[in-house]
Amino acid sequence: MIWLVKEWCCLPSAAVSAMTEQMEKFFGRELFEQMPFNLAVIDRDFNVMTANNNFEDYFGDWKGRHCYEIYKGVYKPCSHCQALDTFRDGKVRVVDGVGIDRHGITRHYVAHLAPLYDNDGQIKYVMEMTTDLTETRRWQREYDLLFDRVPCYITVIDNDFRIIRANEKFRRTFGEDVQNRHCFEVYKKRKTICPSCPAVETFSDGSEHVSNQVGIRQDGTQTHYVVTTSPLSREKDGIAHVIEIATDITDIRELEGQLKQAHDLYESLISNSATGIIAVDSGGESKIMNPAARELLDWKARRMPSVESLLKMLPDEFGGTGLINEDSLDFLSTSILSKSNEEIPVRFRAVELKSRGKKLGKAAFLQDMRDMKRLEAEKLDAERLGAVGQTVAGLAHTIKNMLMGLEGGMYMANLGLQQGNSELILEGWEILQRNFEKTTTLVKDFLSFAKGRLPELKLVDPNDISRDIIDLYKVTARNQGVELILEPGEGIRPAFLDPSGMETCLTNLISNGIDAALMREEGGGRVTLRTYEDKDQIIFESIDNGSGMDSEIQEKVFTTFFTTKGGKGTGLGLLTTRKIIQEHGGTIEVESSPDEGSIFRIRLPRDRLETLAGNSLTRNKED
Amino acid sequence: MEEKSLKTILVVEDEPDVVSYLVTFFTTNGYNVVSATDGKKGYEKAKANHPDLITLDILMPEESGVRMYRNLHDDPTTNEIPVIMITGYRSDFKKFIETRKQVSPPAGYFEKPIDRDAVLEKVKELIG
Repeated sequence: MIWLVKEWCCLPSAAVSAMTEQMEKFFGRELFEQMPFNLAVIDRDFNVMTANNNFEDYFGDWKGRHCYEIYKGVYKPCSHCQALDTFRDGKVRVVDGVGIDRHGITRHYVAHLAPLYDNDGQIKYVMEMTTDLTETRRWQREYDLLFDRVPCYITVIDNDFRIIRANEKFRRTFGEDVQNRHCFEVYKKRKTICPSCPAVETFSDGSEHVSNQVGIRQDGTQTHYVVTTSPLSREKDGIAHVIEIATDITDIRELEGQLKQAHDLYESLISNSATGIIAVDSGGESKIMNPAARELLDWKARRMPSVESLLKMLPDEFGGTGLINEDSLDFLSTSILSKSNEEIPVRFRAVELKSRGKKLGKAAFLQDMRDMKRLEAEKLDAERLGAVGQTVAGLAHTIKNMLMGLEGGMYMANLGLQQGNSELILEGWEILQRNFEKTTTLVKDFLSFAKGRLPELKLVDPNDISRDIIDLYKVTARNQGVELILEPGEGIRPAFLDPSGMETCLTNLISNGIDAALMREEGGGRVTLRTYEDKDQIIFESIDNGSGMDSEIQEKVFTTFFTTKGGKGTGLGLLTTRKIIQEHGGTIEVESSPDEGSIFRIRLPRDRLETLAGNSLTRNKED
Repeated sequence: MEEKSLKTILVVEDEPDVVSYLVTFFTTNGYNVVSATDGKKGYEKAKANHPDLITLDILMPEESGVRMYRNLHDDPTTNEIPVIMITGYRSDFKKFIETRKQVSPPAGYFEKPIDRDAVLEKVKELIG
């Protein structure tokens, strides 16, 4: 029952309060205020007759104002006023509206417009109930944005497995025309439900399910995704809708594949490497020990050795501070101690393992040098035997010449006797004597040469040996008009040499040099003995400015009993020199030009000297 | 006058004692002998003295017998002179030098120590 007044604004105040009173009686003021809407009552002239506190809080002061002023901030009725329609036809209307609140801020709201009748059944007023939608609208926008832009495929399917809704990413991947089609058809181009469908399970038990699936994009390529299905809405028969959220893991799968491939490759390289490889992580735990390393260390147990056990077996440098200062350490010649206590010569390399500056641990690389050492020793032996062999071949020539000399001496002595020619007898006798002496010397030299003794290596200063030789020959050379010069090398570390063997070599070279320098027609002969170190080789050079040799002679000097000294030499000097140098694991070479002089150069690689020293130490121990 | 009619042999040999031996031997057997101690001097003497025969060692300093032998062969003024090799070199060298296409084989080849009668016979056969 509504009691209504005609003109709110024109009514005397007593009448207004009477109407308010009636309204309140009808609604109950309490209810009017408690309604969770903005409530206002307008008459046909758009005057706001009454409103609740919510309305006032939302739109501001309403008394004596028209609704369009309050809602829209304008001064004439709206062009399509829905309230007017309700006044006209009495229908309840629900409309979306946009207005401004008391602070002038634009607001979205939904308005319910309902007619209020008087006792005569005439529509006297319209009640407007507005509910703010601004937040709801924002949420809606956010939700839409999230739904479409989230980097996943999202679909909502009904219990017939038809797609009700799909987000933008899904439509871009699987096609725009997906609405109302079966999910299995869109996802996998199938005609029936997939055999392991998580949505089936969710429909059946109402729980969330996750599974890996492979779909087919609209371009026909495969896509791997992880799909989570969750119940979205229920009906009395069970789950009505399920939401499927799928993350594309094609790229990750591809990366995983590549990673697996790289891992397999490295694992295969490591396990098949002939070099022993061991890795320890930064926490001090052994992580890798390949078969070559196991064999070298004689480690038979399946489990990896502890770091403590490793440190006992590997060179000290692996556990030491070396790697703190350097990224890698390389030892050409060191040794490890196998589990069965065998000392094994190895080439050892240790590296710090890092990734993006972060320490991951360290790795050791072990190269078994046993075969190498054995081959090296065999090669040294072969070279030594080879030198003897070549010498023996050359020996025949020398002996034949001596026999010829002896024969000649006998012939001449006999002829002298026959002819009574004492001069011829004397000459023949001298030849006999000379060749006999030469034979004796040759036999002695050869015996010493062929003895095949091993060098007695001692740690000596190479410069000291050179100095002794120069001191020995200085006076003799000066008396013959030849200048002898010593050029010691700077910073040469002591090396393993056989001092007496090296003295023999240098004596031969220097005495040859002096002989060659004496052959200079213009005088001013000079012989220099130079010692230096280059690329881990100790080098002795004998340089003379003597007669020099052509290439034909250079080729022969080390391989035959060769002498340029006529009757004076046995031709064994350079052979002996070469043999001693070879016994030291070194080489000797010559550079020479006729009339300019010669350079004889001895090269002794340090590592071979050290190998020989190591071998002789072992032999001494065995002896 | 008698001296001039003697045939001349050039002995090329680096061992002085062998030189003395061969010089005495050939002189005693009625030849005029000159000598040289290496291939270079030997070739010079061959050109200067025009010997009737040359004995040549193979292995010598300065210039080897092989080079001298080739020079003699290449030089029209000396290539007619018969050469006997007397050497301590391995016997397979004989085969080597005799099978070279560039030079004709030597007129004789004797290994040290020599069989004097055989050498003399060869010399007589070649130059009388």
